[in-house]
Amino acid sequence: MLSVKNVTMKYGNHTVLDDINIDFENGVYGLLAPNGAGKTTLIKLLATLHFASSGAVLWNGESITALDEKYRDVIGYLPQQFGFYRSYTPTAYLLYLSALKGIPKPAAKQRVDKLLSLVALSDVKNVKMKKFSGGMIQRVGIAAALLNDPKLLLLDEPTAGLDPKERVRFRNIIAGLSKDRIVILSTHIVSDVESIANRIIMLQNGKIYCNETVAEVCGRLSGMVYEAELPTAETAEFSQKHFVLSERFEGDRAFLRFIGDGSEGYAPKNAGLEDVFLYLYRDAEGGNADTL
Amino acid sequence: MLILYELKKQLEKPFVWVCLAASVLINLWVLVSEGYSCMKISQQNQAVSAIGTTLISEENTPLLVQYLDEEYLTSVMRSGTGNPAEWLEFDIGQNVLLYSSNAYESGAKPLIMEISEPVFAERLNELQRNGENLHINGGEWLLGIVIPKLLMSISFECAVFAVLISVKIGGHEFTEKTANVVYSTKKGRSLGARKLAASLIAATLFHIVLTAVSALLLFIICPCGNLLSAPAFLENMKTGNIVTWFSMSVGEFILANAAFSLLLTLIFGAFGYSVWGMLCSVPAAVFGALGISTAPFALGFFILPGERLWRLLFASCPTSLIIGRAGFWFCESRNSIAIPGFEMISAVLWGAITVAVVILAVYRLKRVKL
Repeated sequence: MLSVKNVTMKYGNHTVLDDINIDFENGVYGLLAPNGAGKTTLIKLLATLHFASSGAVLWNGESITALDEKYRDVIGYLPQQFGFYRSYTPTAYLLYLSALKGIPKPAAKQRVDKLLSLVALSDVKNVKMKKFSGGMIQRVGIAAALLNDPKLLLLDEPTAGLDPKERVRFRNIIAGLSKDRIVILSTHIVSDVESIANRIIMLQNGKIYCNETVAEVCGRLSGMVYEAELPTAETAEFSQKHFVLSERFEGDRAFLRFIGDGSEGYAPKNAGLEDVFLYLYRDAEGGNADTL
Repeated sequence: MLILYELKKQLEKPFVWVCLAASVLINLWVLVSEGYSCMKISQQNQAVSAIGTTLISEENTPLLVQYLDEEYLTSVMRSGTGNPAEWLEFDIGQNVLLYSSNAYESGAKPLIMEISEPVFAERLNELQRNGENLHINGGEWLLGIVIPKLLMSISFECAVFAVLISVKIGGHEFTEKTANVVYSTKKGRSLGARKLAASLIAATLFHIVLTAVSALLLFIICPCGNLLSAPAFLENMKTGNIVTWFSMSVGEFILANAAFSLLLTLIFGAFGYSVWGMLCSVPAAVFGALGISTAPFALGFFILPGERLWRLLFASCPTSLIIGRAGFWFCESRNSIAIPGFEMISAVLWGAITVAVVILAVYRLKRVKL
């Protein structure tokens, strides 16, 4: 349905996206990379807020630039920084955005009520948003993205500011929505996508490093992840010799999850998406990463 | 339907109504002061003319002179003291309050007269040049001369600052960064024309209110003519087109004010919108906003030369501020964030404007003779 063909995006001499090719079908795609890796650029490209230096983005085989309003009619977009009118209530703001999305007013009212209920904001639907917390604003943003029942849902760091309970609620909403639409969820928080993403797309040096299922991505570290139990005093020395993914302390004992080659005598563990992320971007400041 | 949303957004902030109230008050102040001057002159001028003529004509006669036109105590001229306000010049057609020193000290009412002969004007200016027969009260000098003079001197800079402040207080889009949300919607990119139309409608509504209130007050308080016959500028009635290049009635002044503001909204708004659309240019948006709001000041100097210019310009300023946001308003219908370094460009641009305005204001203040 949505195809990104040979897309390159440059800011001056700096190449942010380099010859990207991805085909999206219905389902949840987790766009995973550190901050500054080009996730937001790619999302904005798909939201028609950026234009590719070269290449094309196609929706059902037609260029999104040529489709113009017809394409924007089927997308829902939650930007990384969701702008809102502080003096507006969520109801008023969503009705305004409904008008911008071409939704007739009677239908818009029903839709707004339903979505505010979905994101658990019904109780404050007539309260001005300047009184809202960051998490509440983010939930208004999620509702705004869903207003036109989009076929393509673009979510840029959607869980920023949400508490754990809200995160779970959000994941469930997204999982329920993904059956008949494309959901592209950009994040650097692994747990946001690990349980709901059908495919994980990781960016590396402006290129697609992988576009695979969670299992396939985790398989890249198969047989490489181990957990060592050591006295706490020995952790520093151990960390110098190995790439440690995580540390956990219980009394005077330390449990270190690390990348190894099996020579240490520990039994291998199942690799998780977070292990891959940490190892892949271990030296990364803005998305440069090593290859597995 | 979208245009109604845009109009509602334009009108819903309290700041907008504060601007309208300020505009109404300033306009009323201009009209009422002109009306009262008109009545006073017509009632008293004839009676005091002869006495005033005598006072001015006599050499070494202690005098106190005040500009009636300014409606505040300005320079008071007395024998034996000096502190000339050099920028003041007495000329034919001006109205002055005349006191004898004895009458002044005893609290007697002043005489009001118009300087009708060149010899009177020369005599007053001679007194002023020589520094004789001048006395200026410190408090009155500060409130009556210094502050108004300073305000006049930096009125343009005040307007620029007022625009920046109004954008912050009254603006929705530029400061709240809704561009991405709006721009990615189906109709978000064709919003500019609707915003321009909403600006024009809002400005028209404001001018209707302004005209109605002004007219009502004029008829109630200042029954010195009807809307289309009462002179907007007193000097024009007495001396011909001195304050403006053309005679204007109150009604014509209000209509001209409205038409002028609407025209500027259209020109600068359309310019800002189209250039912004083509170039995604932040400077274009700034130009649009500043242009709309400050053009009345700049152009006013060409079409409304005269002593009271600043009052007339301030009278049209608040409504200009309201619609002056249009330049920034268009930012929402364009993806400003798409410009690399947009935040930095904005910060530098706004900083540069602020610094330039302050430097200009300081430079111009230094040149003001007080």
